Parts: sequence; C-alpha cells; structure tokens
Amino acid sequence: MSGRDPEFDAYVLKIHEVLDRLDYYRLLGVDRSAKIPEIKKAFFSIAGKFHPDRNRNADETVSLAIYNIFKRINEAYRVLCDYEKRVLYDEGLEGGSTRFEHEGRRTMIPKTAEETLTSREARQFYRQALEALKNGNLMQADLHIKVASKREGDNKAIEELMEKINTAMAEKKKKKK
Amino acid sequence: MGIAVGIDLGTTNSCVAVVQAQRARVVEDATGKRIQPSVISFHPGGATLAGLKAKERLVIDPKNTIYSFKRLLGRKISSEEMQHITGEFPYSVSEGPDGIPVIQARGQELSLPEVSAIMLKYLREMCTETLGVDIDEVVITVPANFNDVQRSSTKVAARIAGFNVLRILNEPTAAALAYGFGGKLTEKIAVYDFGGGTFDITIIELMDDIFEVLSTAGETFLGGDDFDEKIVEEMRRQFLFMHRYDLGEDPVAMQRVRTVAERIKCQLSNLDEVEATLREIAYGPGGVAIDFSFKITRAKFESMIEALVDKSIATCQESLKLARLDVSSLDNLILVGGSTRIPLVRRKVKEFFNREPRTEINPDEVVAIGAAIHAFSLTGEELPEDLPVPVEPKSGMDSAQKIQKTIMGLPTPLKSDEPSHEDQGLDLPDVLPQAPPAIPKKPTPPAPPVIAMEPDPPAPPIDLVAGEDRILPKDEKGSFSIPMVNAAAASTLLLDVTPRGLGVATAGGYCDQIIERNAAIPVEQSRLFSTSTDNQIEVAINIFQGESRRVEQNTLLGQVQLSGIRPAQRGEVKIKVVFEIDTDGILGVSAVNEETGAAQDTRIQLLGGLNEDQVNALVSKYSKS
Repeated sequence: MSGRDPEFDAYVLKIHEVLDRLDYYRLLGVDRSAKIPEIKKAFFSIAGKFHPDRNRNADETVSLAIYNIFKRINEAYRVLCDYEKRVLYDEGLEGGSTRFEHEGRRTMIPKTAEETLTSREARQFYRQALEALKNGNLMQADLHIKVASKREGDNKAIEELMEKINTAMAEKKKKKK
Repeated sequence: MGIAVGIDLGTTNSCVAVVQAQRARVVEDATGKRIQPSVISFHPGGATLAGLKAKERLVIDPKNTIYSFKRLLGRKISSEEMQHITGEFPYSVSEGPDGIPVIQARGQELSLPEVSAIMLKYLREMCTETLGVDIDEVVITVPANFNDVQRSSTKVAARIAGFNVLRILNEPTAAALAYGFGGKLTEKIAVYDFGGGTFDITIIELMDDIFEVLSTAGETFLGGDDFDEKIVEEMRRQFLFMHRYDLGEDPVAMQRVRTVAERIKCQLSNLDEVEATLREIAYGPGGVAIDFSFKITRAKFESMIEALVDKSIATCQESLKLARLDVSSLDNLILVGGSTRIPLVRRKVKEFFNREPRTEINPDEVVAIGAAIHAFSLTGEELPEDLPVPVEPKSGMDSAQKIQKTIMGLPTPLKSDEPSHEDQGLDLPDVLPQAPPAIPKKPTPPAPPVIAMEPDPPAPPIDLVAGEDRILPKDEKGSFSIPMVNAAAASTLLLDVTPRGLGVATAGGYCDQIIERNAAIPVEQSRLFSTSTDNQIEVAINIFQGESRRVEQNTLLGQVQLSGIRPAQRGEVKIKVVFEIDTDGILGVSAVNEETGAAQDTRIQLLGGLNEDQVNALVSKYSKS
C-alpha cells in the first residue's frame, strides 16, 4: 500500500531488532528522573506513531514489528507510571533486566493431578478416593470420587481416577465369579 | 478496504451507524426505525424473523422467539448467572456440548453465537437495503466488562453473519468517542453505561485526539432486564394472591406480563403512577376469563430496584479507585444505555458524581455512532454522498407501539420514551483524515539509542504533541456537533484496557496473576512452566479471569495444553508460555520450548466457545442462505 514512509518502516524494524535491549526509559525517550506528566506526554507522542491502528497500511513484517513494539511501549508506560512497580523495575534495571518481572523470573510447576482441581472440597474427596484405592477399599474409593466429581465436573484427573476405580471394581467382580 | 459500519448489538435493542457525507448517522430500517429490537423468532412457516417483526411474535409464540440472548452469550450453563436466569426464559435453553447453552426452537438446536449471527445478518441486510451497498466490514461493540469468551463469541457471531470484524470495541469507549471526537477536548470523563443486560463504568481521559481509558469496572449481569423482572415478580405475586393462580405456569401469559412490565418500567420514567390491564390473562373456575389490573407507583418501583442501582454506584467508586481519582477531578459525566432514563438512576448518579450529566446525547444511539466513527478512522472510508441518505422516519405511532397498546390496554397515553427521531448525526471534519495520518518526513532521532550507544537517553522518537492550541474553548456547552478540525487531528487514537486480570492456576488452588486488571491493550506477559513429574510429556494450564488469589473465586476461561514434551526428569524441561491480549481484548496463547527455541505444540480450549470447525460449518451454512 502507498502512503508510507520507507524511512519510518526501516526505523521500526531497527527498533524491533533491539527491542529486548531497550529499557523502558529509552523506549519512551525519557529521563530516569522523569515525572508522570512527562512520561505521559512521551507515551502519547509515541503511541501516535506506533499504535497498530495508525499503521494499518503497513506490510506484514512491519505490522508485526509495530505490534510488538507497541505492546512493549504499553508495558513501559504502565510500569513507569506506577510508583511501586517503578521502584522494583529500577532495582532490576541495575541488574541488567530491561523488562519488569512481577515476582522475579519464576518457574512455576503446575500440578500433580490433584492440584488441577480448583475446588477445595473436590481436592479433599479426590485425595480420600486415592487413599481408599491404595488401601483396596474400592467401595469407599468409588463413593469419594463420585462426590469429588459432583463438586467439580469436567476434570481430567477425576475422570482418570474414576476409570481406575471402575476397572479395579470390575476385576474384583470377575475374581469373585 | 470498503465501507465499514458500527454496530451496537445490545441486550434489548441494536443500532447501526455509518459515516456518510462527513457525518456519522444512524442507519434506519425501511420504516424509518432507528433502533432494532434484539429479538429473533422462528416462524411456523419456516422463515427466521429478526428485529421488530420478531418482537411482535414475543407474546404470540414465546417458545420460538429468542430475546435477551446477549445475556447467555459466552457463558457456561453451570455458571451462577445462568442458573439464575434460564428459568425466566419462555424459550428452551439446555446444556450442549462442553457445557455451553443451546437454544431449542422449532425443532432446531442453536448455539448462542449462531443466534447472535442471525440478528447481525438481519442488520447487515438492513444496511444493504437502506444504503444500497453491501457492507462487509464492521466495528462491533461489547460491554467493557465482557470477558474473553464473550468477546470471541461476539466476533464469531459477526463472522458467521459474513462480516469482517475490524475491531471489537468497548461500548463506553465508543460513547466517549462519539462525545469527544474532533472536539479537541482535554478532560477526564466518566461514562456510566447502564443497558438492558450489563452495567459498565469507564473513566476516560481525553487529550485532543487521544482517548485513554484510565479504568473500567462493571457488572456483566446487571441491567434493565433485572428491573423488568422485579415488576414481573410483583405482578405474579399480586395475581397469585388475588386469584390463587400462578401465572408462571403459562408461558404465554408470562410473556405478556413481561412485555407489560417493560412498558410500565419505561412509563414510570415519565409518570408517577401507571396502571395496566391485561385482558383474559387466565381462566377461572368454569372457564371464566380473568382480567388483571395492576397499578404501581414510581416510589414503589424505586424501592424495588434501589439495591440494584446502589450496586452500580458501588462499582463507580471502584473504578475511580482504580484510576486513582476522586469525583472532583472529573470534568464531565456521560450517560449511556436505556436504563439511565430511570429517574432514580439519574438521581443516584448525579448525587454520587456531584454533577449534572450531559444529556444532549441520545443514550440509545451514541454507542453505534462512536463505533461508526471508529470504523471510519480505521478504514478512512465513508459512504459516498450520492447514495441515498437514510429516509426520514414517518411520524406517528409505529406498529410495535400499536400492538403493545392493544395487548396491554394501557389507560394513559404513553409519553414516548422512544429515541427522538431528530437527526443526531455528528458533523465530521471537512477534510477527511487519511489512514494513517501523515508521517513526518524524517523521524527523529533516526536510530534507537542502543545502537548508537549514547550515554544519554534520547528525545522521544517522534514528537506529535506540537501545536497544542485548542480550537474550541473547553466549555462549549451543549455542542454535540463537532467543529472542523484538520486531517491529522481527526484521526483519533483509542487506548483501551482489559477489564479483568488474567491468571493461571498453580499448586494448592492458588491463582498466579499474569496480566493485571485494567492493563492497557495490546499487552503481553510470559511465564516459564516446567514439568512436575518424571517423563511427563504433557502440561495442562488452566487459565482464569479475575483478581482473586483463590482460583475458585475467579472465572475459568479455558485450558492450554502443551504436548509433545521431551521425556525428562521433572523440572528439567522449561516451556515459556506467552499470554497476549490483543486490541480486541481477546486472549491469545503461544508457547516456546526454552531449550530448543522451537514453538511448542499448544492447544487452547476455551469454555463456552465454539471450535474452529464448528465456526466454519456455521459460516458456510449462513453464507448460502
């Protein structure tokens, strides 16, 4: 499409390349001591250029670059305008981290099967069903898992345990015969 | 890009607007109606009706006439809100696959996006008829507090109706745009948007042509429908007391009661007391027809709804807190949505904000007007002038009112609460904005600082804030018409936010917030995830919307499944998951394996939504008819 300044597009791509190395102050073009009105003014002036809505006629590569840059600009603006976040960010920046990380670069370990359950009661009954199955008390296990399922449907962990219990019960029946 | 329209798809009514001849104007239907009821009906003859024709069938064929469907869209059948209302509907709502609600009407099963699509398709055909051109592109509005599933369901509905969606726009933001467009205003405004099904309060700062949302809060389940229901309950109670018969047992009678209740509510905005008679509403012993006379005062009505209105005021307090503002720092208050016509609502809002609201804005049309302006600023294309300008509405009572009058037998002539039929179009600037605005020849500085390794931070790359002199004095009261402005200034920029926080479930039922509430969009945040057992090849992450630390107090949006993980010891494999909320406020998730840098197989399952195959099937189904 026409109407675009190739120099500006080249500039966009250049910024995109080094985006992760730009800290928020440099990105917004403000001083480390800048106060909120100043940051706001800088943000608005940059947003006027880099907002995806103002670049709908850019080609795909430039569009994507602009989109990514603007997301970062939003992030910078949000952090620098929030006193507490800004203090934390400044600390991190001393250590060379250009982006604000909420609670540090945390690796989260999602879930044992039980932990996928959102309701506390469901978790409790799930645990009891598991325990009962281990002890070979199938009736008890069956009862508990059914209650757990009532408390929280659509859960893979519950469905899996339920199937396990059902299989165990079927096997027991066969043996009896 | 072609001509794009703005559509306000409301719970009760819908409205379409377009920019033509430098003015934003409402697209009327063939009879000059500016507002279309959001109702669809399946006629026994096989036709699917929408709008007024469908609304007329509400009391004739309640089982096959679907209204207020926006309240169901994007919700799970098991959700608290749904439990509360499904019983109220005379049409059948049941549980479909994945717990999404399914509507049964005249032997068909329809999902909510499909129902919404039928309404949108009707509006699209209305545009073609009135404007004489096919409209393919749309900016469609949603309540600011719609969650991810509700937003994507709306987008899907528009796709099924054959639209290319330019933007999902928040209703209060659209209203602010209609209010402040091109006005060169520098002020902070509150948009109090109380509609048929939802309530939003949004605080927006206007800086010339930049509209920055400072905060938004709301209730997606609080609206005029709930006021109607209060009156319905009272009528039912009185009838039961008088005749020992529960009208709830007869769906046709209930629908008549509901229709009357809505009219009573509207009339109570102008009258102190309203009396209605429903003829032959039930049959007594020996088949004797019973008429039902019902009388209610405004004071009584206000006492019934006060708690609901107070809820909205509490939410206003919350939004101010989020914006870190107090009432005195606001410059203007705008009322949007039909429920703001209720005197009690006006009184309470006025009292809380300690100011008179701007009343020159038509609360039923302002959202569509704003959406049309935004569509125009995105495409830069307006409807040519030589096309027929929407026809002037015929004067006198329209058929809907006639029908309701005869059915209800209302004693007092009704002071019209219908939107005024005056042309409420907005003047648009003489010089049309180009999309995008002219770019200064030489962006300065030419290179980002890191490349140059300059010790000092650079000036902002491009300075657009030059020339701040205001064209209009700030207090040009009552001027809803827009002054002439130059091309660049007319290209407004909306900076919106996401209404709710986004988090993932972690061990022990806790929720780890990833994107916080009211973050400016588009926004992106990432987290590292690792396996929790040895040789685990799959990781499932539950995504929640809400601010609570406990998962059960937040709304489950769906699940991200990462598969094809290399079998290894627990904790060894690390996967970076990127959560993004785009300019439509819709969530996207992608994942990268930290070891290899390759994209990880990711599958997102959103609850309450349709999958891609289902959507495509519906798109082709409706493109044929």
